Formats: sequence, structure tokens, C-alpha cells
Amino acid sequence: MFVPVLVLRLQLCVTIEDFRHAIHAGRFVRNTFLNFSQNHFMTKITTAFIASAVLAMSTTHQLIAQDEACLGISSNTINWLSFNSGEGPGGSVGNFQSDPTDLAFIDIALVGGETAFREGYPRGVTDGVGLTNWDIVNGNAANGSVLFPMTEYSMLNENGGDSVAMRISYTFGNVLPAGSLITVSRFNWQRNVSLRTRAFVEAKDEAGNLLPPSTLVMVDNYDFENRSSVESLGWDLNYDDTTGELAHLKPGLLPLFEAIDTDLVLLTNTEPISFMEFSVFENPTNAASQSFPFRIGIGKPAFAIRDGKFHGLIENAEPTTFNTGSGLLKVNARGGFSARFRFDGVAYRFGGKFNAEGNDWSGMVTSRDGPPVDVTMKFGADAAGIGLAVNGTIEGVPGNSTFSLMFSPYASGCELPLDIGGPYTALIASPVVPSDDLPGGQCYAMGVVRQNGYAGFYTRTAENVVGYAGGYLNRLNEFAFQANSHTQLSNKRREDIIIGKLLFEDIAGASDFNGSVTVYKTDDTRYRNYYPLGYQYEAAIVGSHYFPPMPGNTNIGDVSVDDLILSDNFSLEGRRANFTDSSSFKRTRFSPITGEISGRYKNSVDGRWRAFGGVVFQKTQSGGGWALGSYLRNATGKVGSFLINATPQIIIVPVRFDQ
Amino acid sequence: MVSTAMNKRVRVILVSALLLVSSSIVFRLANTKSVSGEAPSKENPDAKVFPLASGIGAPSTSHGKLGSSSVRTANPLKELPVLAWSPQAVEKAFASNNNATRHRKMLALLMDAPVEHKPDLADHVANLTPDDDYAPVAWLISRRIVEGEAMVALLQDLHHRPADIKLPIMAEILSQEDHPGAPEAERALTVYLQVSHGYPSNAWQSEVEKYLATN
Repeated sequence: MFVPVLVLRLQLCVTIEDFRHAIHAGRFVRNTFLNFSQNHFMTKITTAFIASAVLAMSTTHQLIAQDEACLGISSNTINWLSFNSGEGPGGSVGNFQSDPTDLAFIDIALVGGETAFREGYPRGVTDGVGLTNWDIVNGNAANGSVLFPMTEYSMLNENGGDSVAMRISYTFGNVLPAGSLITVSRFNWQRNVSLRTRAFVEAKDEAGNLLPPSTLVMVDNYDFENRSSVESLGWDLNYDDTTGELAHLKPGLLPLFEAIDTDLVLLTNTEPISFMEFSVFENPTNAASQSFPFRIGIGKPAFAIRDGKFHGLIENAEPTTFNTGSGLLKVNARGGFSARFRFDGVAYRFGGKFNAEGNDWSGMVTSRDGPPVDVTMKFGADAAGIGLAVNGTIEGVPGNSTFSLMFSPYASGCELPLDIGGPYTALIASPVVPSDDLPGGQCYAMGVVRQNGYAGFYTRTAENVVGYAGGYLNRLNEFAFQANSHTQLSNKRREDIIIGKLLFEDIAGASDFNGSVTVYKTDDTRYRNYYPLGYQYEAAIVGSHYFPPMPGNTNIGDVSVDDLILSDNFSLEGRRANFTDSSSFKRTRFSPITGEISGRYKNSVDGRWRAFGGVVFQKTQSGGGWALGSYLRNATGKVGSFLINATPQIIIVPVRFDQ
Repeated sequence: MVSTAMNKRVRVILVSALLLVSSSIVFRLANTKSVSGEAPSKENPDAKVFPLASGIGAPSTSHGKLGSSSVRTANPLKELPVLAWSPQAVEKAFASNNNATRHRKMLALLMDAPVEHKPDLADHVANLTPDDDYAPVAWLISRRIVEGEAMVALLQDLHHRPADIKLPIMAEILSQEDHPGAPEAERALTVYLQVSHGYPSNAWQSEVEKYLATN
């Protein structure tokens, strides 16, 4: 009879998600100390040691996740949740994860008397090296073989005895979807004590309700050695889907052997599982009172429902202002989601719950501002085939388009690369052939990338209209840029859209991000429009880190606006910067916060004051923008360029980011 | 000559004063309509208009307030359904077929949720809440009723709202001391208004009113 004297909870916080679960970890450490302090058999030294090991475990796996794992999930058919063992006696350092930002906990409760962890356990191991022909699980196949990353458990009965017992539970941060795989192996038999490893398995659904044992189905029982004799059945492990017991298939054969381990059994689940517990009620020990190790491995389909944020563009083979846009999705671990799509300039905000079996959702979505659209979404691989995305279609009056919203690791706690975060300025190239109906000058943007991967950019078009693009960087450090620009008066509403994909990468002497965007101006006659025919053009966009100047930096360099030269110093007063006005310029100002320069200049043709605007571009010690021309409305509209000469430029003194 | 010049000056002053009073009345009327939810949005003629800055302004109970003179008449959170947070309640809200009320249910759950669950719920509230029912979210932001990552989620979404919703809220944020949304609000308003007042400052509110009245 086992008396539950000690409950020892080893909580393997498993990914970079720990940053967000620091409270949870703190609670664990506290509980660990409390639990141990209640047990007079454990010394304070042991208590401190294990607590330290757990802290080290957490820290180490954070580093692993940041450096290696946040690149994206595997493209393998199965993502094996792996326990990675580390160095050090009395405990292991490691993690338990299926993808970089996945989260799961292993809790171990010792219920077999005065027991403790056996030195070096639990630990990560692999099983099945050299196995072949297991196509169903060939996700981790290498040269036709299969590896099963597994966790090996072994305990120590410090007071002696023939057996130990424990409960090992797995709590999944993201529900283990139906069709996942559970492998169990190395259940041991010892004739001298007539004991064998046995366990009951319990699983709970998404709502925490206990599932029947038949939820788990045995897929196969692998024979490592290709044994074929009747006796070899002693090696077979069985799962009883009536009682939920894992044990040797033919216990009657076991006395034929001095000691044997089982082979590997492979189970799958027919329902989503949020919690699974292996209650090991018999596990023989050796002469040193160490229990014989057994192994458990869990794998799940790679492209299943998971929590996180997903962001991407709505695209069309023949893109127009009507059939493009962007989508942002927030999903919880049980498939509940909320979405914000902008399609044809209309905001569609909706929610629902993904189907756990198909990992999909579909429905009609309405908006007060536009016609209803039919949306279908399904978890799957991204365009590169190696990352997680939510792919789908959006169909309606504006057109039928597709989207691939890619998972953002940074929104789930992975660390943003150091060289990406912070403020930026960006310039969009002029049309190749500007005309009266297609204005020259450069649209520009000012924004910030936050540590959670959220990028927000305010844009200003060449017609002096403000827009905003916001969303999350994906694992490739791409940003789906989509800014809707329009005036706020309903009778002047204009649907100007700037849309494209940016890539954050440092190109020496050129840019800190780059990409291509399309600038659209609708020809919808409902809107009074400076360019009634509408237009669209594709142009390169480049971005530069922007470091606000410190007070005292006074030189912005030579500014050339529509053939006029503004060569003047400015002064910083607090957060304001002011140019000295001249006969050709007035109300000229530089914003240290955004890097924007704007003002008025006297047009040389008609002598009227016109607006100009632009941003500094520190990467190349230059800048750019636009200057409104002489005959803007109704006739021969014109937008001219705005240049900031290369030198001298604002003296760069890196200061704190406002993040 | 002196008399004529003075008359001109007086006339200019009178006309200016008249213009100021007229614009003030027009603005107040528009604002009254906004609070009552009857006036159409400048963004969309069919939409309800969100209260402008003076309507959002918190009373003296708001911490860090510099002293907004206006007082919001009613707490929009009181109009939310009464829901007790639980994981099951959240799932039930997602499973509901009624997209029109989901954002309100989610907001009610956010208000009742343990602090560790608030950021996720705030993300959902931000995504789901339509422009014409934004007042409760504006209340959360301006009164700092949520904190940390939950506040970050609401603030990030705020930038996606039409100018007649977000600019007054940003001005309200910048009138407070140490509001977490101040740096980004200042960045945004600097772009829109092309002026700089720093923060905390009440000067942003009048600039926003001028901008919305003329754009």
C-alpha cells in the first residue's frame, strides 16, 4: 500500500513562454519549498539544490528557445515533444516542447513512500534508432529511420524497497489535437521480486472532463529485435482501452525471464486532450533501490491549432484596391479566436472557434461598412512549408482573394533580434513615370517595432494624407504592411492604400528593411478625389533605424524642396525643433520624435505657399519626401520631390528608445 | 483716422469673437450628439460617433489627471452583461454564433478575469470591438482600468481606429501623467497635427478638436 507522504512537483517550464509565465514559475518554486519543508525526510540542502536545478532548468531552456528554437516550427509530419537532458547530478536541465513557443508542463507526484528522483532523471532520450518502415510517424525520419524523442523516468527509494510509484502528468498549453501520437516503452519485469511496471492512463478533454480510456487507440506495437517466438510476446506492451492500463501483454510469460523490458507501443488519441496522466502504481527497483527506467514520448501534428498571433496580407492574382488587405488573428489554446481583417478598406471584426478535428473554420462575416464576405481558414504550413500559418480565402463582392497569416514567434515570447526593435523612418520610391495624374514625390512612413514583434507605422502619402499600418513580424522577420489612408470627413473619404511586404534585414549602407509596396488610390466616384481616375503603382520601400537627436544637435543638413534650397540650422528646444524661417520657407519644423520634416515653401511659379513633407533617412545620411505643386486641384496636379542632401546630416547620438 | 482704425480693430475683434463663439457652439452641439450616439461619424455617415475628447475626459477620480474640465456622464462598462470569468465561459463566448454581441461578452469576461488572463482577453476585445461600440474600450484606456500587457493590447489596436475615435483618446492619454500609451500617442498626434506639446499637457485636446473640425 502506498501512502502519499510527499508530493514533489517538477514543473518543466518548457519554452520561452516562461517569460510570460514567470508568476507561474515563482509559484512553483514557492510550492516546491513548501512541499519539501513539509517533509522531514528531506534536508534543506536537498531542497535548495532541487529548487536551484529547476531555476537553472528554466533559465537554460529560455536560452535554448531564444537562440535556436524561435526560428519556426518543424515541417515534419509529427512534432515530437522533446525533453532535452542537461548536465548535473540530482536533476536535469531541459525543456519540453514541440515548437519554439509551445508550452507544456510535466508534473511528477511521488506516491510510493520515501522516494526521490534518481540521480540524473528524468532525462531526455531517443528511442528507436534505426527503425524503418514506420511511415505513419516518419516525421523525424532520417535515412529511412525513426527517432522518438522521449523522456525517461526513474526514481529512487531511499528507504529501500522493491518498487516505487508515481504519477506523471502532462498539461498541454496548446491542446494535443486528435491524431497525436503517444509512445511508451521499457516497462520492466523483475522475477526476483515478481514485479513489473504498470500504469493507468487518464486523459481530459478541452473542458477538463475525463475522457474514456477508449479515447486512446493502440496504433502499433513495435518489436525492436524482430522477435518471432511465442515467448517474445513477453516483450510486447499492451494498452487496455477498457481499463486504461499499460502493462505487459502476456504477464503469464514473464516468469520465463529473469528480467526484460517491453518494446515500444504507439498510441493515438481520437479526441483533443488538454491533460494526460500516467499513474505508475508498480515499478520495480534494483539492488540500489533505483527504479528501472521507462520512457514516454508525445508527438503531435505540426500544423495543428495552437495559441498565438497570426498576421499577413490578403492577396489576389490581379490585385486592386478592392481585393487586397490584411488580416490579424489571435487564437487561444483551445481554438477560440478573434480576427481583424481589412478588405477593400472595410474593417471586418469577428470571432469563433476552430474545429479541433479539421483545424479549420468557415463562416460569413459582416461589417457595417461593407458587404458580407465568406471567410474560410485552416491551420497549415506557410508558403515556405516550414512554418505555421493560418491559410484561407475571403470571398465577396470586392472579389475572391486568399491569405496566409503567419505565426508571430515574438508575440508568443520569443526574443526579437536585437537589431530590429526601435524607431524607423521609411521612404517609398516615386513612380517611375510621374504625371499629372500620378504624382511624383515620395510617400513616407514613421514607426516603431516593439519587443513583442508589433510594428506600427504612420504613413503620409504624397497628397499629405495620413495612414496607419500595424501588425506582427513573422518568423522570417517579414512584416505585412497595409496602411489605409483617408481623410476623416465623410464627404471627402478617400481609400488610399499602401500595401506590400517588408523584410527586416540590414543591408549595409542602404537600409534596415526593404520591400515592395503598391500604392493605390481608388477611382470610386463616391469619393471626392484629387485624382478622379485613380491610380496604382508599385514601388520599392526602404527603411532606416531612426535615432532621435539629442538636444544640442543643431544641423540637419541642406534641404532642397522643389528646386529651392533650405540651408538652415535648427534649434532643439525640449522636444521641439524649429527652423529659422526665410523668404522662401515658413512654418518649417523637424520632429525629433518621428524624424519628420514639414513646412511650407513659396512656389516659384505662382508665388503661393505650398506644403512639403519628408523624413530623414539616417542609414544613408539623406532623406526624402514630397512637395505639393502649383496646380493641385482639378487640373494639372503636381507633386514634386523633396530631398535632403547627404551631408551634413543630423549628428547621430543613440539615445534610449521609447519602448 | 484714429477712430476709423479703432473701428476696424473693434470690428476685427468682434468678428473674431463671434467666430470663436460660433465654432465653440457648433463643436459643443456636435459633442452632445456624440455622447447621445445620434450623430453620424465623419468616417461613416451611418455610424454612431464616438465621444470626443471632452466626453472621454475623466473626472477627478482618474489618477494622474492634470485636470480635464469635462466629466463623462455615464460609465459604459455598466451596460455590459454580467458574466463570471472561467475558461468555460470564454469558450462559450467563442462558440456563440452571435458575432454582434461577442465583443461585449468578451469585455465582461475581461473585467472579471484573473490578472494573468487579462492580456489574452484584451487582445480579443481589441480585435472584436467595432468602431461604433468603442466607448467601453475607450473608458478602459483613459481610466487605466487594465494594466500591463492588457493595456498594451488595447493601445496597439487604438491606432487602427478612425481618427475621430483615436485622436481624442490619444489627447486624453497625453493629458495624464505617466500613461503607458503616452509615447505612442505623442508620436501619432505629432504626425497628424504636426505640432508638439510633450506630455502631460492639456494642449493636445484643443489641437485635436481643431484638426477634426477642419479635416
